[in-house]
Amino acid sequence: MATISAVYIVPIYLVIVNSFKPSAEAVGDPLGLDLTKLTLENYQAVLNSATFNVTQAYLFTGLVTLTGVISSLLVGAMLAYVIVARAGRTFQLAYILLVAGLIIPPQVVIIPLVKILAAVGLLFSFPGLVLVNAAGNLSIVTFVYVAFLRTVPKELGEAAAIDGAGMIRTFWQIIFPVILPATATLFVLLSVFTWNDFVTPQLILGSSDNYTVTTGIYRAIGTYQTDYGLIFAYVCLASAPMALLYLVAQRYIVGGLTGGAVK
Amino acid sequence: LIPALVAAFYSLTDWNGIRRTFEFVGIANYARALSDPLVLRSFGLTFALAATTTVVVNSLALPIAAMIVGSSRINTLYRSIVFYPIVLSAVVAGFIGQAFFATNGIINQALTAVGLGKIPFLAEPRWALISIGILAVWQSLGLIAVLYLAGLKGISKELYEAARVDGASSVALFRHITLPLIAPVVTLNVVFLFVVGMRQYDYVVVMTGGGPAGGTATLAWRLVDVAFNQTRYAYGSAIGITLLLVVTIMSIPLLAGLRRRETVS
Repeated sequence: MATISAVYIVPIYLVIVNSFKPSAEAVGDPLGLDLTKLTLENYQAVLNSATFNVTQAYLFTGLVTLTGVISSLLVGAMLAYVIVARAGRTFQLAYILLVAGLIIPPQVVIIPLVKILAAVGLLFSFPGLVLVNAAGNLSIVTFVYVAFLRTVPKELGEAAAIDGAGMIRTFWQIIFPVILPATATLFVLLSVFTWNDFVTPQLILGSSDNYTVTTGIYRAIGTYQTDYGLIFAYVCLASAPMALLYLVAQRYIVGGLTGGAVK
Repeated sequence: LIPALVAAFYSLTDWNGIRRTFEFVGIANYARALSDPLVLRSFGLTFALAATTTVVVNSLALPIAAMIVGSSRINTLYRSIVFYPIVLSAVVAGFIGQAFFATNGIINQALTAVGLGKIPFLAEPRWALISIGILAVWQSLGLIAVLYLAGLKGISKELYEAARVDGASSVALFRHITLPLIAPVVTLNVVFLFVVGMRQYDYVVVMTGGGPAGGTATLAWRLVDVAFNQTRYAYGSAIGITLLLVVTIMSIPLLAGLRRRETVS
């Protein structure tokens, strides 16, 4: 187990340490750690880069992630509630269609998506990317919520109905609090996936002025292929927010994945 | 799902994505895809990549999960260590991989330092594909191990104790208790890795750009290249739909086969 851990620790060590070393040092002696020679010049270079504005990329990707994830969670939760509460044919069919969306590779749908977005004038834009992300998440969100809601006793909703609560009120006051744990897990997982996604923003934003963190560093690094100190500084900056989220919310990620697997 | 239908529709036309008009050409695009040596080559190497990583990751992940199944503090630490790559973007992992595998990258420097020759990781088609495979194994191992871990935790300890009292060996314990009980997780992991592997795209873009000499041009990379760089949308859609059909059709016997093993054992 110690050997296996080394395979995982050595890369992360090299990435972090070398991002603080002058390039010559990083090439000559990647493993070494000479505290007197540590420098912030790589990070300064990244922060001053003309092609990649870190603050802008963080804000843009953060907004894309938040709006995309929250809207898909809201819509997905309501959809799942309706699917579970109303056993009609229409809703079951909608559910099957949604779940079928899970197995379609994103590259297959991206061509028509790009054309549809271009037709309605949303290509290369923030709303376009958010819409695609939200819709793309909807399958998995609904799937998880439906599985989760099926474990919630029906009497809960029925009791509320007897007390005169409408469907919308029941949803907000009874169902929403119950599905909060699943929501936390989904929120963390989807945030990580959306933040890290590359194909979708690459093809939707194309060569426009907007870029997410992943497409931004891909564009920026292209020109510096061999300067590992610099590349690693980009890598660290791109991963830092999700690494923090991972440390804070680790139990939600692992719990969510394992919970889903056992079912 | 609607975009998938639209893609299926385009795939039957000769649309190039820019013109306003197009004509139906029936299955011509599919016929061309199936006889296009580039597409066939992409299919072959994507399949090889997906199949190999699936087998390697699963055969590594299960023993790892078994080793760290206890809830001691050191095991929790190991879990975090193996799992962290999953929060890295595939693009980021690709850049790390590139730094390690490049001709003058970290691994080759280490090899030179101990007096060994360089390995042409990204310069030679076969090695480039292997490098991408290694990276894929590295990044997905933690996720799969954690899924196995959950499966192993679900097995009650009394079963093992009872079998041991009856004099069963460790190997027998594994074959007759562990394996049958985690078979559903095996099914999930195999199908999941295979489907993800067939879509391999990000590593290729970052590390090799499909090269050298098309040696790492996976089907997903080929699709994007054909549709967006060559603006042959209809043909790209046909490749996409073929990919979708192949993945779906291959997942079914895979699922059925593994299911059968679940019930037999």
